[in-house]
Amino acid sequence: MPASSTVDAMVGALDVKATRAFVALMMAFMGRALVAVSSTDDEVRAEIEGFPEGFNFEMKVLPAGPRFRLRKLAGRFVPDAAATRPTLAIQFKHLRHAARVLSFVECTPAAFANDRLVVDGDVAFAMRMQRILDRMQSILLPHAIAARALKRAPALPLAGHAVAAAKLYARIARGAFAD
Amino acid sequence: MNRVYFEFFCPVKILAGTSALEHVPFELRRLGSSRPMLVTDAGVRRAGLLAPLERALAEGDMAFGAVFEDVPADSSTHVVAACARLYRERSCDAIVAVGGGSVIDTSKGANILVSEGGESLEPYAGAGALTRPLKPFFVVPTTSGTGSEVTLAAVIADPDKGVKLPFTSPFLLPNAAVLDPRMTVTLPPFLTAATAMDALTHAVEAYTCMAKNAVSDAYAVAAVKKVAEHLPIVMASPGDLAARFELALAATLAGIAFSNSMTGLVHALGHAIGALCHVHHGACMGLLLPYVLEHNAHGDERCRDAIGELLLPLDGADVYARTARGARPGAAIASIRALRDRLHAQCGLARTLAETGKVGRAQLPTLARMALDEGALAYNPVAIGYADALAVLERAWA
Repeated sequence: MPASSTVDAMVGALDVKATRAFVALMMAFMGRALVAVSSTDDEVRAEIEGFPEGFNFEMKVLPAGPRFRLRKLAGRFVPDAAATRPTLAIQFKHLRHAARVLSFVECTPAAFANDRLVVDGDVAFAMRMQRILDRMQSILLPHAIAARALKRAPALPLAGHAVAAAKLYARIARGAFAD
Repeated sequence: MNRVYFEFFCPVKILAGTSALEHVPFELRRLGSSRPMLVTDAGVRRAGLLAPLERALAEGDMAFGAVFEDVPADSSTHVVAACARLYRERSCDAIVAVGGGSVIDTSKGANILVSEGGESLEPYAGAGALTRPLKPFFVVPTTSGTGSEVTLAAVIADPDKGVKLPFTSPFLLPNAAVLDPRMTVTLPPFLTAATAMDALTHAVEAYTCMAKNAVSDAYAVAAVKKVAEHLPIVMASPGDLAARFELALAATLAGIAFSNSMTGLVHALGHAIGALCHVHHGACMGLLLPYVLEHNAHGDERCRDAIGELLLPLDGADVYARTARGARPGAAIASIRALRDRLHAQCGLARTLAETGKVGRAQLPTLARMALDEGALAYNPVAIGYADALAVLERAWA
């Protein structure tokens, strides 16, 4: 059985409480990772420059979460607690869809093409955000997993990839302990 | 485990074929309308295309309550507001759009205002902002390409803010699309060719991109077959009503296909070229299609197979059967290239970006960067970065 099928079966077997907990954990991790990568990676920072100041982004599971929300401040992402309509929102239609994407069973582009997600906001912003998410995942994930999560995982040099990933994980951990 | 999942939606009633216009009064009454407003442009009026529709309504004991024929080639929120004002002043109760993409998008915008109230479209921009059905809305396309008569989107420029407002909602879908061969018979050769290549591109991208599915595939294949068979006939005999009708049907079928499975890199590049260099959209589609297919075939095996399958509707069963499976993708692309070259000889449709006379080679990097922000890229089967987009543009240059 392929690895993705095994993971799919495991994720599918979780009860709703465990699935919600898993998705909430992964969402919180993604939020922190985006904040961290906006400080450590030049490519991501260049993409963020394309968003207007005050831009805010929300990823959530419909109808009521889990979710995380960020805004652009001084060229980086910071956590955002506002309750206003976000500039850009990526919303999973169901908890199980989020669980499949966040466990890399279904890659984000396929989830988008398969209508698992609703994107609300400017299309150009959505494409820019997708490039940031792709970049973040390509740094965080080992190449074999990134290849499942992305349409094309860039072949980063092994040493460079390890250093970038270590920096990013350290920054995420610092953010977590700072909370 | 079977992981297939897709969604397909098209509630548009299609009134198609001989005397389709004569069905309009009955269908409007069925929806409770007795004073429809006609939205069109001056070119449609000059081409004499309104006469058969107005006659069909008069013979059906109905007349337009108002006629708005000031839609420019690129519509705006101001035009939409003027259109909605006229609708309200004349107490109309439905909208009939006769024309191409600009007329149809203006009508969709006006329908939002007259149904929801207010003067501003901005609160309704984006995805899913509309929550209830709008006024009855019929579309009579006068070109065979955009497929707007069966799509749920509209784009309207807001000149005050310098932005284009996108609208996406199932409530923007027309109640009926009316395909009558009389409405496209006067389309000049260049526009016939360009809009048909637009329809072909919709169908090919729908069939080869990531959101393809079994239902949209059926529409896409039917559309490819109709364009391949009937476009050469129309180019040779522009007055052939039967072939004209088949092309109009092809555009609608392709519209249904791509509005459900979306488009890819051809449209991403084409939108950028249209915005910066003002090349005709359909001409741009036909020009880019073979280059993008070559790129995608090289990068994705499933896409390569899908392109190969299109050899059947493009060139027929005999050619398909005697072409080895591995050679079919190349043969399908060669067939599209040959069609494009014939159209160039017949009406001057550009084969390369240089031939358009509107694109400078120095603009290619800017165009590649602009294309990266196009939503269609999300559905392209092969990941596209700046270098990929630029490489395709360079190959399409000359």
